[in-house]
Amino acid sequence: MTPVEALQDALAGEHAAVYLTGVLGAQASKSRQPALFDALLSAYRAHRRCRDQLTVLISAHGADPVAAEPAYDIPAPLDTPAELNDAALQLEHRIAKTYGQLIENTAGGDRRWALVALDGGAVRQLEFRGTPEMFPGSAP
Amino acid sequence: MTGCTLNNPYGPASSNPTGAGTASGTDPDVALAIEAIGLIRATGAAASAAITAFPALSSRLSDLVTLHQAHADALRHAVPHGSSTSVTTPLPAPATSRHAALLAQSQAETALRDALVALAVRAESGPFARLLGTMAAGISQRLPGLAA
Repeated sequence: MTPVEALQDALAGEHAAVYLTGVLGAQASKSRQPALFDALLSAYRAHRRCRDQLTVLISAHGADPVAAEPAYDIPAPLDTPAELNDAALQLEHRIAKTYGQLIENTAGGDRRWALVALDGGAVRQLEFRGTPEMFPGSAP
Repeated sequence: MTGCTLNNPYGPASSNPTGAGTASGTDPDVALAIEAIGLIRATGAAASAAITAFPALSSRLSDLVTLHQAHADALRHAVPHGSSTSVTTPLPAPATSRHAALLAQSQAETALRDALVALAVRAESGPFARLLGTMAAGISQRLPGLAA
């Protein structure tokens, strides 16, 4: 996998993450589940920031950043706060692996950026009641 | 976690984004691995010393001792047989209170996390960089638990 391919994979993952955290946030109640709502809002902002930064990184390589899909599959069911939380946690696990792959397939500044992104995603898992891992973002 | 297979820095050259050689005993990543092992062992030893001095900290620091042991083991398995991984690092001065010990450990863990990230940037092998990066992220996940 080339560095640009890895960056494009990460961008595709972030497009999906922005979409999904938006959907999850819309399902959460700010008044009845304030902690979950805040965590989802924070995650949405973080993924949007990563998406924008990845777009810049890919453009700097002279490539066209991959576009977002019109829609993404939504995990079901999403009827309870616990199901919303679990969907968000699974999303963060997937993104962490994507950033692990990005670290593996880049060098220099791109890798440094991926290391920071992995770190942020790993810590975000805790916001969704994830448990600390030995090697978050390691290959499956 | 199979650090000696998936994350072996001496794996196939095709997995190396920089195109650098990976199979030689003089690979610069060996030096990085040994440096990382030394840093991890020193930080783990500091956590163990803090638990010995202040047993009440065991519930907050034992997981870190386990984490550092797992990380050191993964790195040791990644280094070619015959490479010396014994690094002598002095223990920090003992803390005078439980609060001070926790603060010192938090600072040591943050420094180790940052050092592992720096080593990951320098690594020639992509899988090895990933291994170091996942170790740094594992430490970051535990830093909130050290907040006083």
